[in-house]
Amino acid sequence: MSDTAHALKRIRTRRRLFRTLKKWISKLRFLLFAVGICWLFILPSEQYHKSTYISENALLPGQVNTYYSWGQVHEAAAFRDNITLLSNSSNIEKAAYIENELRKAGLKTAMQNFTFNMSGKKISGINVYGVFKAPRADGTEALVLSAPWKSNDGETINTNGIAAALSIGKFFKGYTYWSKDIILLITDGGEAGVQAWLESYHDHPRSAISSTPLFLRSGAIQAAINLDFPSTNDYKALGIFFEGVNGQLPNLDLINTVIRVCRSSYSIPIMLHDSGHHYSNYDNGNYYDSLHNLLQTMRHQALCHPTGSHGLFFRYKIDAITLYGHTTAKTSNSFSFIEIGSIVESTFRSLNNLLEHLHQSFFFYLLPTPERYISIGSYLPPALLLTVGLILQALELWGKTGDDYAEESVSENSQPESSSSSKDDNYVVPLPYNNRQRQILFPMTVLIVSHFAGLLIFFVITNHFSYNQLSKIFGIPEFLFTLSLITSISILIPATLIQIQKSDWMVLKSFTLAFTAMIMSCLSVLNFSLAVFSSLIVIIPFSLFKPTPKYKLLQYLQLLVLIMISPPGILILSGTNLEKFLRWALMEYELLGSYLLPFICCFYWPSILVYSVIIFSDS
Amino acid sequence: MWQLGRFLFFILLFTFVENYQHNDIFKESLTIKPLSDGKLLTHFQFNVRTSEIKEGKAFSHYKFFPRAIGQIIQSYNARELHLTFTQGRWNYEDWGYPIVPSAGTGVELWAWLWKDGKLDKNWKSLTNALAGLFCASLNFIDDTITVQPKLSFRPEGLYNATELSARAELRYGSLPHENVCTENLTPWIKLLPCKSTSGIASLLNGHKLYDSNFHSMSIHVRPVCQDLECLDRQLEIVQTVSAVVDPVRNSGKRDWSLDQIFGRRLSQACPLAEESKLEVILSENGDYKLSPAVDDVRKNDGDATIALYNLKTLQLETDISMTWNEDVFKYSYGQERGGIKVNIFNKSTNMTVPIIYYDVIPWFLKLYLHTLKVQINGEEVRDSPVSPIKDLYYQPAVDRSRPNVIEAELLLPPNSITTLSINFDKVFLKYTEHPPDANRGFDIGSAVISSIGEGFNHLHDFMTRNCSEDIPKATCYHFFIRVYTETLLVSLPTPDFSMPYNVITLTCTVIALFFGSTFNLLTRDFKVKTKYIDFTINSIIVPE
Repeated sequence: MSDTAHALKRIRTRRRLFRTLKKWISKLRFLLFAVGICWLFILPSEQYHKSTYISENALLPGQVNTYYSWGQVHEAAAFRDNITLLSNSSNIEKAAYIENELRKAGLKTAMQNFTFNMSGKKISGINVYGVFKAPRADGTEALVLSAPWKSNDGETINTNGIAAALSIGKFFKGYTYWSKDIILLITDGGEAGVQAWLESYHDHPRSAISSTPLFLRSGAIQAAINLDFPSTNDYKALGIFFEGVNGQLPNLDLINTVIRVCRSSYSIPIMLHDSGHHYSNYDNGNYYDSLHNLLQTMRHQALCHPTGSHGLFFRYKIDAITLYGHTTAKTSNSFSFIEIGSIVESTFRSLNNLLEHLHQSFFFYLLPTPERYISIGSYLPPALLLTVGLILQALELWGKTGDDYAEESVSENSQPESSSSSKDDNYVVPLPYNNRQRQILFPMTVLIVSHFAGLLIFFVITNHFSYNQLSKIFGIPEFLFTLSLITSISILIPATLIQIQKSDWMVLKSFTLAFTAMIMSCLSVLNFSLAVFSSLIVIIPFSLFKPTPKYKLLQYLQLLVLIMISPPGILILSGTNLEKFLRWALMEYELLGSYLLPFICCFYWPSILVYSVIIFSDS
Repeated sequence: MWQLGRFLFFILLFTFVENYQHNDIFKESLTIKPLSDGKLLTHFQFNVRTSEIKEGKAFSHYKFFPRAIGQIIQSYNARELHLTFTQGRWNYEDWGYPIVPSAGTGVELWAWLWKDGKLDKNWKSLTNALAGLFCASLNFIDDTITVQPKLSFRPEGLYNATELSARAELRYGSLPHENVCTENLTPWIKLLPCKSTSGIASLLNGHKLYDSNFHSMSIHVRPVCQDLECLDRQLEIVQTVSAVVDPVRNSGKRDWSLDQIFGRRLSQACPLAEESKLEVILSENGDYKLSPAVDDVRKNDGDATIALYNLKTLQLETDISMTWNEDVFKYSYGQERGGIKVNIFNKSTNMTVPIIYYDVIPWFLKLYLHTLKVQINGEEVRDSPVSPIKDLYYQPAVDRSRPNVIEAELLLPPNSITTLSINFDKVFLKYTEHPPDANRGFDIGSAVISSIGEGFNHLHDFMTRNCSEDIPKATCYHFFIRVYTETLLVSLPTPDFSMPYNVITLTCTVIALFFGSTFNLLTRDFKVKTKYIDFTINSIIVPE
């Protein structure tokens, strides 16, 4: 008997708990949002993150004696002078020079011509690469040392980078300890060149690049280091770029290795990207430096844009980073070829030790400073808290749409419950739910039609710019007109054709919130930054907005906000040239396979369209 | 006293009888060939021939023929045995063909075994015995990687081949990721009659040998004919070590000396050897100097001039410099995203070359035969009279028991690039099937392109290695030339074997186990039925 009583007591406690939860849910929601946002701002503080460490024991960074010395520096200086002379020559002359130098160094060389036609723009160029076949190795693995012709800014010639790469390649040839082949890659035409080379190397034509096939090849590439040392100056600090397409990151061990190598032998200040604080030894900066670094990373990740040639390697499961020479940092020391060469040599020696692909350390992390990291377990909770609020609200609304019917039965059920303590034996626990059927025709139609409209927008954008012929007759105004036509039709169809019931908007809102929460939480694992930024934009409007037929003004105010947070609204508010952005996003999509454009068109925009239906649906 | 005398007499008699009966012949030679890119090929070859070991006859007296190998051959009924350890890649483009067919990276073992009812057992025992003998992981050649090629790897011994294929079967296995080192070299040297104490074997210095760009060590056991009619057969064991050393790397010059490349000098020939020589293959045009003076210079059937040293002279040091240029055949090999692609170059301007392409692909790559495509110079060739595929043998894989085998007979048009490609799916392996270094990926052995030597008569040095003076020429021109592609590394979907992964897996398992019962408890309603109250039991809770 006492067992039963106990069970009953437990059930009752649980009911009470749920009722309290239900009562506080709207407040709890906002509490979650607030906690989530505050948590995000705690991320950069020093107490929150940990020091990085080398996870892969085979790497042993900085343990070898480096032999890159002044002889190589003189060679590099000679290369630098020749490259400076070549700066105004044609692609062919440049490529021929590089190929000749690589051949002289005793490497097997090949050239690759490629052309890429996109949005009325034609990118063409010649990649040159040389393969140093490691003696005695079986040629199943390779490391890449790459240097693009143009530096990160797209204008300055990467003179020192190429000169260093050439001298290092020549230098590596003299040793037998290599267990992996070394590929020296000088790419032309920015990202298109790297992409063309990678696609041909892996025999995996994906984008619209037409290029000559590669017959000179090596094994599976394990890691790549990209050198970006613009012009011919000395450098003040070493910048590290690591973000790739779609916010992918290299294994943390690779970054750690380079930093450990720098720290072990040289006092070169290290910075993340090319702005912000430069970190010397035992310097962890302050909160604002960390925040700045995090925001930089998150901006790059959210735009799904790679921060250098290295970013394209990730698609092929190759870990890569760019080393960048920063000239304007305020430090007393400066460094040049000897340091660059030694750092690259030592890093390659470490990578040469690898028995397996880099896999030990983190692939998902945030770097507030070069030597401290936040792991996925620490940064994911705030992003998830933001979405949990949406899910709670969706469930609450779903419950509410059922409560309309069942209000009386609820009160009836509560009667025996209160008196149940007296007659335990025959007590039947009421069903915790009711069987009311909800109308899902309208919500589902709206959801499907608006997402279909999103797909249509995506289709129009991709085709509009892909065909040159079309874009001549079909300018930006017509294009905008088409877009607005699609959006308004997608809003009108469900609104006019279907008889709307009173609570339909609740079901619709519940669905949309749940769907948004699902998308955001999934995305937060893949691309944390994009998820956080888009959640921060939509969460407050999405949870607050509802039809207010009594206050027309409020209704239109809501519509205004929705327009402001819709993709065109954001672009116009931020003062971006619409056409420029579209061309950029499209090129990212077609050339690099970035999913920013599909995400905006197929997920982000449709949910805003759905909301513009919601605020007008209860009439 | 008389008894002791009789005993000595017997010993003498036995020795005499042995010497009389065992006319084993031992020859050693070292060939040095400067390659076109400044590297140097050094090729050691040791031949032992015995007429004693006959099929089906018990044999227990050994003179020069290594006992370890003889016993293995006899007890496992092997007719031919070829074992090659290779480290590095032979660079066909710059180095031409190897003097003796080398193998792909790793270990390659193939043998013709007599059909005697326990052939597969014999093969297994053979691999195990050789594994023990050479300190190599040959015992890992199990059923999943053993294959029976139908077109490639024909018998190399000199006898009636049809008779052999009726009475014997071929077994082939290779381990691409086997490292070769001194632990394999030491037992190999022990098989030599003079070990490494004298003769050219004394140059085999592990430190220098394993600092080379390419290194291949092999043992070939095969029957050979003693006369033209092949009535009398001998058993021959050929032990070779080929190494490509790079004098340029150390000194910056092409000049070389034995001291420099091996760290040792030659003192004397092996006293047991009937013939002991050092050959330097020279090119036609080149400014070079050999010191000390050459004993003999002879011309081969081809164009090559061979400088010959009979190793009676002591103190050998030579300096040489020349250029070399030949470029016939090259290949490349690449794979990504579930596909294999082989480019075969025929650089001959007027010759159509017949080849046999052979590839063994492990079972965990599921090949799609319908995706097998042949392109010539970038244009796809469909089934038609001009199709370069003349014959195709394909053995589909069986999971966890046997690999895929593709053998194709192709005709390469002159001056063309023939591209073979086939797609595959990668299989999810069971977690226990991953090796300890799971994230490295899986090594796939070399594909082998064989061609019958008739079209390659200009490859004189290759021929001369295989044709001894007393072997009929016609037979020795029928040797296969084999070109090995590079091995490749395929990464399969790998689970995260790290600690968090284990925790997640364990937690999920526990949750899955308890979910059912917990869910039941939570969702079912329990009701007390007072009717059935027993005296002993206070209440019974019955699920409703």
